[in-house]
Amino acid sequence: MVKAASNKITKIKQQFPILQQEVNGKPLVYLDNAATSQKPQSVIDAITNYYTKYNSNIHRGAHYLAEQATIEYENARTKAKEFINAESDMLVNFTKGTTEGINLVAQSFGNTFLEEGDEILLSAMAHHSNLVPWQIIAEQKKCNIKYIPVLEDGTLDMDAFHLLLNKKTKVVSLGYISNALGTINPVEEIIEASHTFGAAVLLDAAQAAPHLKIDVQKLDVDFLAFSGHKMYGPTGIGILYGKEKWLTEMQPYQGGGEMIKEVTLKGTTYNELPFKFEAGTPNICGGIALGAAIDFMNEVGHDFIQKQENEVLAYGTEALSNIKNLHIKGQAKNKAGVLSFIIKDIHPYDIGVLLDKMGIAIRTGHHCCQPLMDAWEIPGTARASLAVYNTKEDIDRLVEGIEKAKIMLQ
Amino acid sequence: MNTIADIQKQIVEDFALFEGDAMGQYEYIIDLGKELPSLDEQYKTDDNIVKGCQSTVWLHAFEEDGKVRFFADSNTVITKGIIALLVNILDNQTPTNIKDAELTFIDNINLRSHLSSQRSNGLNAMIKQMKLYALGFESKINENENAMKNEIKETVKVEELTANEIKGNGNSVVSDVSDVSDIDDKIVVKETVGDEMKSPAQIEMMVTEKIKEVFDPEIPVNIYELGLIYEIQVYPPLNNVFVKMTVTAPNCPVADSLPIEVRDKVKELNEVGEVDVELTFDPPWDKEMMSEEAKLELGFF
Repeated sequence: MVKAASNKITKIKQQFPILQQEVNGKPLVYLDNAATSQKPQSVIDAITNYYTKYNSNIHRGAHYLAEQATIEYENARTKAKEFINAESDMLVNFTKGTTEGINLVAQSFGNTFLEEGDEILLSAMAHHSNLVPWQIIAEQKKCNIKYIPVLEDGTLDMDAFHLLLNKKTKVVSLGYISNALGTINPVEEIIEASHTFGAAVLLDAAQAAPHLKIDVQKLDVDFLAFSGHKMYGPTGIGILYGKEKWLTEMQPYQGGGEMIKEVTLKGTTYNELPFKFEAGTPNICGGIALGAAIDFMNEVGHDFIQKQENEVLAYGTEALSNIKNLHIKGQAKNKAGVLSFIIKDIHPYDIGVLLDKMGIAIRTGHHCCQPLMDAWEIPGTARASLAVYNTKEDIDRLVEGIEKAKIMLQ
Repeated sequence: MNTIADIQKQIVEDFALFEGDAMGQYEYIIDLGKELPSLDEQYKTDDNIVKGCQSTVWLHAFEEDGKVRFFADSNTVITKGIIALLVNILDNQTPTNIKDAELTFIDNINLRSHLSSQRSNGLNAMIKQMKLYALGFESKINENENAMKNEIKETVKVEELTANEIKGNGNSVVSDVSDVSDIDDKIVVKETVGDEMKSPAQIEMMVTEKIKEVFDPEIPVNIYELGLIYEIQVYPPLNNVFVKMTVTAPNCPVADSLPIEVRDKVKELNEVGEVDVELTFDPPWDKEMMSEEAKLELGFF
């Protein structure tokens, strides 16, 4: 049984050409998947195929190539719809990525529904991309932002959340999984409570999409945004899901081609969903390649991905805990794929540089969560983050590397 | 004393021992970082933080016997090691030598290949900051020298005057005394006035400092250093101010707003009356109008 799993991992890993190389003379161990994951051959092939066989603009051309491209692009939308179990294709908008999705909601929802004095509820562990767009709209509409505090173990202070929630709360926006800590937030509880006050909930699912099976209907979430590049797809493409009742009312975010039905010099009628929010020629190739990435994940299977990552995470948590003076940041019980740590008297940057020289790629810094790092009074952490192709051997290399770096730095 | 070139040569030789051994080179850099004395906490101020570095770097500098002394620190050991290389080379050298130093060791030990592009920018920022300090101390030293020369000239003048008077006047001694007391009085008067009322020259300096707070939005150098200010006139007693300025190009998007910004900035001074800013393109602005600092900042050296 164990053997079968490890065979499967070997086969999966072989599908990633980039992982077959040496860096600084050592076989590459890639542990920076929360920043971006690597891409399997099938995704790379989808990109090559598009440009070698049927590149053309979509939704308008009357010729063969345009028809092919349109079919493939819209197929990818259907795959994304199924990936998150949305009610309909028209609620699935292609975006540049999670950041654009959040900006779209902040501006479009904000301009349509927010009024002076309304409150926006965010989390203190939010990624900057789920913070700044709200700060911008809050200033424009004179709204107030409240923050759900984070407890020492890296979980949200849910008591505080329930106290902060009130009739003035119009939007609650937070990460499904924290990118810096890996904490899986209790989103069901948050969504249910928010809805009793009539507040809409946006989930930043950038870190969740590669690890969990997402079901927007079961979650009853209002908006959900994620990026292709963290789930084995290319950069520059993402998905924003929204409930129909919001998307039909919301004013468009950007104007241009694709999003219009009729344009006269007097005014414009907007196209129907989902095109209303997709101004300009989209990232056609990216959309199609995202479809291929979803195929890849479906083939490997969500159950297998979760089981494999959890096993390696548990192994890694124990192995790192045994390193003297190392402290793992974010020790929530419910956690996905992230080992964020600090070592006493050693700056995370120094660890990162030396690991790199040993062929081990991790991320160091504040992970775009400066307020959280400030609250903990640390300059940042070193972060190893997992994907399905990571193994216990990768963790062994990491531990060995940390021990070696520690000796050099102390 | 070791010259900048000598020290660099030594570093290149040291690094040659670790050819092809990245870990060895790092060990060497880390050791340098550990050996560099920590900066006293009182100097770890925000003002001393070198901007543009990803990890925090503090640089403290002062002038001592015509040489520039550098003391630096960082919160990461590897960065501190890299700073140590720079400090070892540039500390205790003359401002002119520092300003003109060509830091060839960076390419010779292939330092940049070890650094991410952000780190590489940090290294540039560090070098720039050290050279800026050198430039500042250089002009300070020059100013002091000039001031000393002027002082000597003044003394000579007074002596000549006294000698002439002694020559031409029998009552010289008495008149000399009264003359001297007169001068003293004048100085005293000037000083008391200084507290309550500023001279036009002083106002002009204050106006200049204010204008230095204005930036062209696309250029990280203030508009004064950039050479956009052609003329500053102060008209006592109300201290009305007239500023003649330009912008870098006639189609510059801030051509309308920049003069207003200058006017508003200058108006913040309590000491000035009306402020009039005139925009001119005669002569048109040219890169050569930038100060040395500005050129350095923008990488024209």
